[in-house]
Order: sequence, then C-alpha cells, then structure tokens
Amino acid sequence: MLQRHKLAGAAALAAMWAILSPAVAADLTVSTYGGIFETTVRECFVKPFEAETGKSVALVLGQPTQWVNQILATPASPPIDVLISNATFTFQARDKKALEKFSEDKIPNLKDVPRPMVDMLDGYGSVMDFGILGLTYDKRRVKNPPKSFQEFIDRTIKGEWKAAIPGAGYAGMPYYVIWGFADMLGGGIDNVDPAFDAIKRMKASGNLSFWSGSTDFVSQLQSGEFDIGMFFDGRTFASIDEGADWLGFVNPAPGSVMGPTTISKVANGSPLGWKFIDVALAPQPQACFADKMQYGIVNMKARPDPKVAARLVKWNETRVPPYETIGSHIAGWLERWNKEIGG
Amino acid sequence: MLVFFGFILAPIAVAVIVSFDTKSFPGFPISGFTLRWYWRVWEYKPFIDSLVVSIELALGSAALACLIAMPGALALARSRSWSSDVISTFLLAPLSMPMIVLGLAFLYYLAALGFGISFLSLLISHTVISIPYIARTVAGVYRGLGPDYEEAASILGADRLRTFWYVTLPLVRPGIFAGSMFATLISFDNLPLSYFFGSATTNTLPVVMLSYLEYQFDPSVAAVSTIQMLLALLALLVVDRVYGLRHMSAPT
Repeated sequence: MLQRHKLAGAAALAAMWAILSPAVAADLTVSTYGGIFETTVRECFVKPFEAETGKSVALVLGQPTQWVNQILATPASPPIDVLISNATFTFQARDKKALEKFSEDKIPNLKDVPRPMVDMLDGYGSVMDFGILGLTYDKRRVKNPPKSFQEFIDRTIKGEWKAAIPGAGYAGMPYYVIWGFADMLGGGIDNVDPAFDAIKRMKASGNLSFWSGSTDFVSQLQSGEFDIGMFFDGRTFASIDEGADWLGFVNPAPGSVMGPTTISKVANGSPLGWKFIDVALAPQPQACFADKMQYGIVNMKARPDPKVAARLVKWNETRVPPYETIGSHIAGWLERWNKEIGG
Repeated sequence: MLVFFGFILAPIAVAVIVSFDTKSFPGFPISGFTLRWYWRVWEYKPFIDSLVVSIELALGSAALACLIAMPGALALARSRSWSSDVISTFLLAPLSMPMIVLGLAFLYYLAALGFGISFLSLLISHTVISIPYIARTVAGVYRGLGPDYEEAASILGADRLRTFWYVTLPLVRPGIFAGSMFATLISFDNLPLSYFFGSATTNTLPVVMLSYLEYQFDPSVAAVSTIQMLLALLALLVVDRVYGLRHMSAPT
C-alpha cells in the first residue's frame, strides 16, 4: 500500500516537473497572428531565415495588446525579439522605449522599401504588408460599382443599394470610417464633422447597416442583408478563391485607408532580430507573402504571381491615417459616434 | 424552457451545425455536410498544442486550488470569529474583478516577481481564480454537516489526522468534486487571463482561436469549439460514471 502511494507520488511529481520545466528555447521569438497569417510567416519568412542562419524561430500567436504588454512587463529580457503588430501598438511600444530604430546598415533590404513606409512609424519599424478597407460587393446585385467613396455615399443615400460599414464594435472603425471619411470630405483629424454628417445622412436614408466583426461580413452579404460594404481586400480575394466568385472588390478614389501590419525590433531582444526583419523585407519572401495572403507588400523589387500582382493595391494608391497622433482622438470620436450614430 | 432552448441551446447547436458546413465561411443554414474542418483542426498544429496546454492547465490549476482552498474552507466553516465572514467574502474577490484587469495585473506582478511569461505564471493565475469556486462549495458542504461526525470520531479515539482522512474528507468530497469541476471548466474556457501569458509553448486554445480569427474565419473555429464542448461533456460523463453527478449536490 505504502509502495503504491510512493509510486503515485513520484508519478505526480514527474508529471508536475514535465509541465513546469521550461521547453527548449528557440534562438529567436517572433509575434504573429494565427491561422493563415502564421502559416504564411512560417513558410515565407521563418523557413528562409532558418535556412540562411541555421538558427531556430519560435512564433507567439496572439494579438498586439498581449505582445506589447508582455514586452513592457519584462523590458530587460523581453519574451519577444521581433514584434509583428500594427501601427497603433508600434507607437505605444516606441513611447515606452521598447523598440529600436531602423537603419539600412542593420537591414540592407530597407533600401527597396519606400521611405514613407518607415517614416510613418517614425523609423521604429516598417510596414511589412498592408490591407485596405475598400468596397466589397455582390456582382449579381451591383452591376456598376462606385468609382469613388463620394459616389458610394451619394448612391447609398439615393437608395441604389443597401450598404454596410464597420460599426463601433470594430476596433479599426475610427481609422477606416471616421478619419477616412473626414479626410476624403475636406476635414481631417481635427475636424471630423464632414464624416459624421455623411454617415448620419446615409443612416437616415435607411440603406446603411453596421458590421462589428469581419467574420460574418461575407455570409451577410451573401444572405442579402446588404449589397455592398467596406471590407478588406485580401479577405475578399481569399473568399473569391474559395468559391465566392460572385464577390467583387474596388479601391475607390481617392484611395482606401491603409491598415498596415508592422514589423519592429524589440529593444534588448536578440540581435538576430535584425536579420529576421531583413529576410521579411527581402524581395522573394515579400512576393511569397503576397502570393499567399493577397495583401499589399512594400518591397518594390518583389515580384508576386501575375494573377496576384494584378489584384494588389500599391502603397501610393492608399491613404494613411496619422497613426502617431490619432490615438488621443479615438475616445472622443467613439463617444460622439455612440451619441450621434449609435451603430 | 422556451428561453432556455432559444437563447442557450440554440446558439450552441448552430455552432455545432456550422462546423460541418462545406462553405469556407460560416453561414446558416449550411450548404452541405463535411468533416473537412475537423481535419483542419487536427492538421493545424497550434490548435492541438494549445488544446493540450489548456487541458494540463485546467487539471493542474484545479488540483492546486483544491490543495490551497480546502484547508482554508474547512477552517473558515468552523470558525466562530467575526473575521471568518470577512475572509470568506474576500475569497470571492478574484471573481468580482473584470478578468482582463486581473490578467493584466497578474502579468506585471508575476513578471516583477521573476516568473516571467511561463506556464508557472499561467498556472498561478488560473489557480487564483479557481480557489473561490472550490472554497465556497467545500465550505458550503462542510457547514451543512455540523460537528457531530468529527466529535464522534474523536470520542472513539481517532486523532485529528485520522478524523480528517476517514471522516471529514469523505464527507466534503461532493464539495471538492463540484468545485473542481467548476474550476476546471472555468479554466478551460478562460481567455482574459491566458491572453497575457501566451508564449510559443504556453498558448491556450481560446487565445489561439482568437488569434486565428484575426485573418481567417472558416468553420474550423466552430469545429474546435465543438471538440472543446465534447471534452467538457466527456469530463462530466466520466465524473458521473466514477462518482455520480447527483452526489455532487449533497453529501452522502
């Protein structure tokens, strides 16, 4: 009996040790979103990096809030060496001195990346790829899609279709909708009245609805809840390739708002991070990324598959919100949205 | 009953049905039957790795919480001190705070203590939120018993350890089982705490699901949710066969 208890105790201790003992650490840790994004980063960036350097890479799946807080909680020995994130969180990390500044001597491939893609992050990272929130529509119901956002607004008010735009439940809404509309209609970060006026008129027409999560956009469009809506280019193309050939996509004038995925080197992280970033911004890995994700890329020498290349939007066909300063306006805009729009 | 079926069971049923849809984006009704998304769950390594972490974490934190909560609950249930009520209420504190705030606080606190982003940190945070469930159920059961059984054991010559092992422990077992079951399920589903401790080796299933949805929204998330529900049901079934769910509500 005593023997059995001892054995059970030893087994429990061994199990506990197995659970608590740290796994063998990789040489470099990189943050990434899950699903197709992760498999693409692994295939297009990690594989060539490991082949070239012989060093291993661990990917941390999650979201920017999680990664940036993890870095800030342990700044002397950050758990992440390369931060793949978005512009808002890149600036948050920069403000806490958690990132290192880019330079061409550390990242030779930076010479082929348009300077605004680095400058928009104040040099503390680069845009790695970008999506745009253009207009996705059902080709069976919208035969003549709008060529400009102004036309989208006007024809929605006229009742030519049922339209959908992101609502307050979608975190990117203030950038894509409030700033995007204000900028296009003669306002800007300090004057968003034109955006609110336009959205109020669209809503009053009874032809506007709001989506809060991108997961159900395509199914709502298919079920006829709306005919046209602001949605992402890459996700639309992925749906088309998976059989939704009734979908169409346009990037209306004066250009859709860019939602960049950024890449930065974490301060006190492994110096190997510079090499990884250089690989991620190199022509071939960038082309590979575009082929799989169908989002815009930034290396001007990258040559994606011609079918994909024809779909890709170029960085200078988009509009970039002032990510560094926009953050302080968001709370006020959302409060106003809740009072005046309520969607 | 209608409300139960309409608002609780129906959304779950829809998620299960959507997991068999042939379409690559979720929609209802479904357009055909396939097991493709279950294969996708099996094929996508982070789903399986994180599922294993979630199971280890749920069982580990429930076991640890039992060890911590049970002695405290027994002492509080028999205490006549005015402070016992205060401490009992205080034990519920982790449940009264938004989990996301608790997660963020744990991240910075445990990092300052040197635990970093590790499975141990994850285990500590999940144990803290499991303690109230086990403490309350054990204390509830123990209070209902009265001291007679233990006094009888003592009069018959049993020392305190024997009394605990042969009398108290069997009597409070329903509370331990019920509390552990709650704690395991709460940990298994938890996102806000696990979120801040995700690393390459410690990500839990809900964190991976959330991250997956950032760029991909095929029905594989519905498939993995269905598997998660099945595992919870299986756990209940095992407990029922081994112990009897009916025994969890009252001492026998």
